[in-house]
Amino acid sequence: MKRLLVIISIACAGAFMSSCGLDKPDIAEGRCVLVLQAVDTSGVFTEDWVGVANAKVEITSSTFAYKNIFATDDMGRIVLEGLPSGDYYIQASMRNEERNLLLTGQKKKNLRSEAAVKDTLFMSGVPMSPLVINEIYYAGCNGSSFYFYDQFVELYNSTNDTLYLDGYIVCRSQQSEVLTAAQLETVDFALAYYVYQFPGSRGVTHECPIGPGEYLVLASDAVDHHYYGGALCVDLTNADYEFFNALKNDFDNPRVPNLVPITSTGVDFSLNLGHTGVFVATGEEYTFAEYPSSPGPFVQVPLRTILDAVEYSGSQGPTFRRYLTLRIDAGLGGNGLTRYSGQSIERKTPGFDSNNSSFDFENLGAPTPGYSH
Amino acid sequence: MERCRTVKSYCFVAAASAILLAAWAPPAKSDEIRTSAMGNCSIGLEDRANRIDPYYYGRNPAYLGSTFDRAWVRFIFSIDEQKGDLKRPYDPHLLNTTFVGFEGRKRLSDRQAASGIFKYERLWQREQWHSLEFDQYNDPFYITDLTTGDIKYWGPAMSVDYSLRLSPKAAIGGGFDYDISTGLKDYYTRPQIEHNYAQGNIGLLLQPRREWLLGLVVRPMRIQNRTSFDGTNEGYDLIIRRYYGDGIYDIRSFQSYSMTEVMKGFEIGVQNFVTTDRVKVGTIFSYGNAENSISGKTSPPEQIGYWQDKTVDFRFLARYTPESTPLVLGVSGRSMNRDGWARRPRFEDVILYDNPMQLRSAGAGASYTIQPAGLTIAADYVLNSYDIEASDYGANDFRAQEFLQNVGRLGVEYAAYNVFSIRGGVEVTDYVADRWLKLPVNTDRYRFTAGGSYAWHLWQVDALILYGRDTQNDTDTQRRDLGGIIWFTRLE
Repeated sequence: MKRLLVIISIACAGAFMSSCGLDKPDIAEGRCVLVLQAVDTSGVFTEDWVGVANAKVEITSSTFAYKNIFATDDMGRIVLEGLPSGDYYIQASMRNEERNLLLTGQKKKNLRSEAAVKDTLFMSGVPMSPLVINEIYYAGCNGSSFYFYDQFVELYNSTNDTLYLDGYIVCRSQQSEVLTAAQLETVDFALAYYVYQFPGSRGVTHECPIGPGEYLVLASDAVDHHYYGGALCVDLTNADYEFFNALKNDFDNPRVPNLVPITSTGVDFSLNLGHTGVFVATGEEYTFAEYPSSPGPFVQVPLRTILDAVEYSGSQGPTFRRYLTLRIDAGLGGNGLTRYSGQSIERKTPGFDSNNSSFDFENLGAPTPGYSH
Repeated sequence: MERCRTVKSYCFVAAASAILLAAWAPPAKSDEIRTSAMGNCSIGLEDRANRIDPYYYGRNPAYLGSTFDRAWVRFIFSIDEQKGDLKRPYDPHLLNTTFVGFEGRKRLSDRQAASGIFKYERLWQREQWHSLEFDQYNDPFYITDLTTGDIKYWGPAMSVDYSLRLSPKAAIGGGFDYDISTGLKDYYTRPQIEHNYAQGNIGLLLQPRREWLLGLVVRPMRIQNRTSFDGTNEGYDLIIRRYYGDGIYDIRSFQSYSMTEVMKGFEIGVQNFVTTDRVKVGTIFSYGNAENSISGKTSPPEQIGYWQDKTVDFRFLARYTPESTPLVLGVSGRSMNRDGWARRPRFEDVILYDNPMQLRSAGAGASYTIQPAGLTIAADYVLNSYDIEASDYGANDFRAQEFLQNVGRLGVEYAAYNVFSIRGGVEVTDYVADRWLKLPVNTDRYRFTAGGSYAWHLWQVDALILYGRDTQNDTDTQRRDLGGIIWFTRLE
């Protein structure tokens, strides 16, 4: 009996010790406070660094789904209370139409305690790009038949003048490990796999105009895709241009002018349904290149000739592989957009381009070729 | 082992919830079909499976041999369906539970006895809104999609107990419960949900004096729930939301993914039973701790959340039988403190969710048998006092309720010639709540039961029909419950 009692005591003590668990934390979630001061460092308006009143401050979390837009007060200050712990991206912007200038500043903050975190958001001026990619529809529209041939890219002229795109090139980025992440940030070019060119010669002919505030729809195939893919698909019979590869079995609508490939890769200007980069360049300079690690040919497009670049991906994370350098697109658009959903990504405001697609773009429930939502 | 025998308690969710919501509580006394048919009267009603002893009241397997009366084998069929909108948001609109099984009890030698049950179950959650977990309410972490679909779970469940008498004054026992099931949602995002539950049950029993029993039970437990996504035929990417409480969530888009939650826990119980000719008293003190770790399948594995639950529980049940009268009087009491809390990885010093609760309960019951008519009438009244807080700091949502719950039970049985009997009962609960305080407030529950049994030769048939209804004072919404269970028992 005594032996049994000893066994019981030992078993009880062991069990209690093994079931102690962790200590309960004493700091409550959702109590973080962020105090920001937005400061204009551009020197365009004043020589001093002053607070930017009424700047739009967009705060998003990379830890969880959180997004909100606030405005700074007269002193350029903003106080955000009741935030849950997490990593946040903060983007402040202020557009000045007179100077054709966009004041923008970004910051990443990690919040995890009740104490107020104070910081200064330095805003600098970014000249607004004359020609931007306004919308990309890449997701496809019918999963049961794997139909994604209704893809298109939409361009927008954000200036007050007519632009002529003769000889300009529209590119889809490389999608393999041709360049490592470190190389991507050190070379002075972007690597393209598909390159299609507008008709004409840059600075010589004037065949491809885009008026001020106008949109150009560049269709993968300029047909009414409802007939082929179903109700979610897009009617692209009224597209302005069509990507056409005459050397392959590509569809051609003779009533729509073509963009033609300058390489032999691929059948059409196909966009990846999950993740890739698209950019527009003047086409004044590019170089063909071969890489032993991946079949090409690839095209090296100098960064200085690139007018706008957008990289998108449905799922994103801090260690996500990038195809475009941060120097032409700091963040990815299309977060949460799924394949065959019939959705597209579009610039929040036509012409608003901070070179960060995660801020500049938003997901659209249905594509809007030729206009903005 | 007579637990988990009524139609309701057989469902998978109840099995999982039993660990978390009533964690560490011993098997319900009213799981016997007879007491269940008599309105769940259990305090003052004497029944074979309602005895105040270490096995039936405290599920101490060491006492199985001592409480053994005769061997039998039983075949069971049960079906139950709950339907209605008076529910928590992620509960299915319609829940259908069906199982078939068999169980038995046998004495292996003078000193050994064994008991076992095996059943095969189907749990059909119909019109399940967004929920993608086996039990969405087992912790503050959960995942959802944006569709409504049906989820069917199939799988076996088993339980065994064994006892060995070491000496006239000491016995040991061991038991093991195991459930496994696989569920499939029939609509996008088409996850596969695997549930796996295992609990050991080690018991020790000492009898210092003839009328005094001292017991100890130790119960290690493990539950694993895994939700896997392997893509859909439609070719869509899969999108889910992972919630950390109700306010914080992230959106995941992928082609394949899985999330696993593993809960490990332990319970220690000390039992004390005193039995005389007229008085029987059983007291149980138990302490339980469970830790739930939720992680996503990535490389390296990504921890999503952590949940811990501690329970301190004391309860007693006593019966008194006055001399020369067919009357049994009973009293019961319970005091339970539970403390659950959650945190997110990377924010270990920040509490996400706090969920303390207290239960104080007192009950009284009586049963009276009129002979020779063979009529038994039983009644119980239980007053439960709850004090629950559900503080979701991430959502800035703080719910707290301090309320009294009245439970009244009435049961009648007419038995004749030891051949057949008919039974009926009603149980009324005037305020039903869950620990997360997500059930609609002011919900009352009415449970009507009827049943009977018939015996011939060595066979006995028992049947039970249940009709339950949850109602709310302020609205017309209801939730109904209709079920039946039938036993075919052969005595050896």
